[in-house]
Amino acid sequence: MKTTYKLSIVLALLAITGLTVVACSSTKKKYSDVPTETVADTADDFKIEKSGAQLWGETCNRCHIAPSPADYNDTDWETISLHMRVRANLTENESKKIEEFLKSAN
Amino acid sequence: MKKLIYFLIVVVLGTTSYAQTYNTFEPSKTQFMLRGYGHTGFEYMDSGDETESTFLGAAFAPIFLYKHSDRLMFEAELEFVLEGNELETGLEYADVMYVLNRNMTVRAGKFLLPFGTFMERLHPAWINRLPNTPLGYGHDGIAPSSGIGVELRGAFDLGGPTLNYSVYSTNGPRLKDGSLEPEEAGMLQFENYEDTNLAKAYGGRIGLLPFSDSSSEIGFSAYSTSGTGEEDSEYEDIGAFLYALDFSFVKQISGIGGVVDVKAQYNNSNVDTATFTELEDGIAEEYSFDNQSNSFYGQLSYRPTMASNDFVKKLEFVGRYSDFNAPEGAEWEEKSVQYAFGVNYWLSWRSVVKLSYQTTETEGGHDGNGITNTDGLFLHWAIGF
Amino acid sequence: MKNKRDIRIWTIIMVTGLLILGFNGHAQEKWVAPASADKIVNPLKGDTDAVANGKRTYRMLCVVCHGAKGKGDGVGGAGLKPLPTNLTSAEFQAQTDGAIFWKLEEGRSPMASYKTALPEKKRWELINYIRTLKQ
Repeated sequence: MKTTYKLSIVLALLAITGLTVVACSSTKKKYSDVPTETVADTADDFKIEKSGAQLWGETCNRCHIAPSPADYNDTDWETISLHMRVRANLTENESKKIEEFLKSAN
Repeated sequence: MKKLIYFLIVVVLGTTSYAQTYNTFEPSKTQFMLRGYGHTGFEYMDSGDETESTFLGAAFAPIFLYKHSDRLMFEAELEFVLEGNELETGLEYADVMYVLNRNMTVRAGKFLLPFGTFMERLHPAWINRLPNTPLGYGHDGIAPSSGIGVELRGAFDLGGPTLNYSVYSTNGPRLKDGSLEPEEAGMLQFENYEDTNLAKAYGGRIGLLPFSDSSSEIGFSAYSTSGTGEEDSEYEDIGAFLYALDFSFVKQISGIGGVVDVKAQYNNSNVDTATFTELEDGIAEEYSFDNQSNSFYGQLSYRPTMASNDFVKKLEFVGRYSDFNAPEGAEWEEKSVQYAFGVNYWLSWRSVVKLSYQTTETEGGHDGNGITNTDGLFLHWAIGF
Repeated sequence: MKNKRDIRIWTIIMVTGLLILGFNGHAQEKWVAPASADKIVNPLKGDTDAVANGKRTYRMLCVVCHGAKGKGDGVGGAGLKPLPTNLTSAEFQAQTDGAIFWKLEEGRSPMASYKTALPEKKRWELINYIRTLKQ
């Protein structure tokens, strides 16, 4: 009797997840990558959007104090970003932009 | 002598030019990092008729990270703690993960379970704002902390708000039937890395961050299994259903000149009713109870990061309430309430000295009947690296 | 003979000590832009429209460490060494626009370099806004 109740909850969880996957897989890439040198030369291409610095301050502080970019080198930040993306369940956008910021400031 | 000087010149110049060229090499795809954390401290405990004080042996938890490519990674954490003059070692987690696409990552091995957020994200000594865990976690805890199995997880950008999910299947818990430790009959043992039955545990968590500044997160977790007893035993079909609710809020508020951090989690465990045996004066007696437990903690901390004084800036004030209720009628029946207060000094973003006072009122529990009050004073130093 | 060895040991200790001091001292060194930077002229000097644009860029990139009012008390700044510069201070504001421009371009860890991440015009707008933070 209880088992069906439990199973239904698990199924509901799975269904919600599945639906969101389907719903969101078709969305277009909403954010632009960090501007490269060529893009940055023309002011028109520069978009006002959430920066890696902002995401670093907001996202990392959710659990621990935001780390100083100076404390690791570029390759280390790549490893840490992938580790934290999975551990804290961050979006690809968040982890990629934070990684770019950390690498620009170390 | 001259030869030696020439030789030295060649060596010195040679290495300098080598060192210069070395920096132009591209970093390798395979990256390895050894990280982790450790802590040490001093504790003073007073439980009315008994007082004790002790320096704590250092605990050391190295974390190994191997990044094979931008998608494939292996992570493992070991734990070394001194307990009663013995070195205890543990494997906190060891799993391999692969990023399937921007919304899906698969993990396999022994991993921290996303049952709420405390054990998965907040328990490491340099992250936890108090020196110990809230009631309901750790050794006699009711919330699972890790499991062996497979997991699918990921996150979605909803154009401001974000949503994260995780679904997993693990070996699941084992029911303590009381044959070895009669006083623990009916408890779930989550450290169960060789499954004793065919029933697996299934679970997951959904977390929603409703605001674009990621300040708040609410999460719901569930964990269920249809059998916790050994195959062909009378407890084979004793199932269990656990759920947790978690909340987090972190934001700098200029009106009060600092960062406010609120964390809370409620755990509920419901194990199917079973009959256990206890020995009373040499006669075996059967008994049964409604096997429901729950625990809760709420924590508020404040860092005056906008203060003008550099010393005050690094301080943090924290308060935590937690309670724990174990089933009535069980040998481990317990009702506990705990208050903890602390002042922390952050030496850096990953190193903190914590001074805290905590008072716990326990009714029942392992120490027998009646009410016990335990007060503790802790001074801990934690470092992440 | 024994004396000589003692001296050698002391020399090693002192050199090591000096090296440690030297490296620590380096971290605390004041950040001064070269004199040549003072000659860089702000093309947007006195442009009030630029201030509003600069404020937007400031909110996006700088506020996280330097804080909403520029006092160096942003949410991300707490874990940094040295702490973020107080942009409202007389000492900071005494610099030329060119010197601030040079620092934005170069960066000094943990301050990011904005040479490639921010177009030149955006950087000058930002400087015009930072001037309004003066107390």
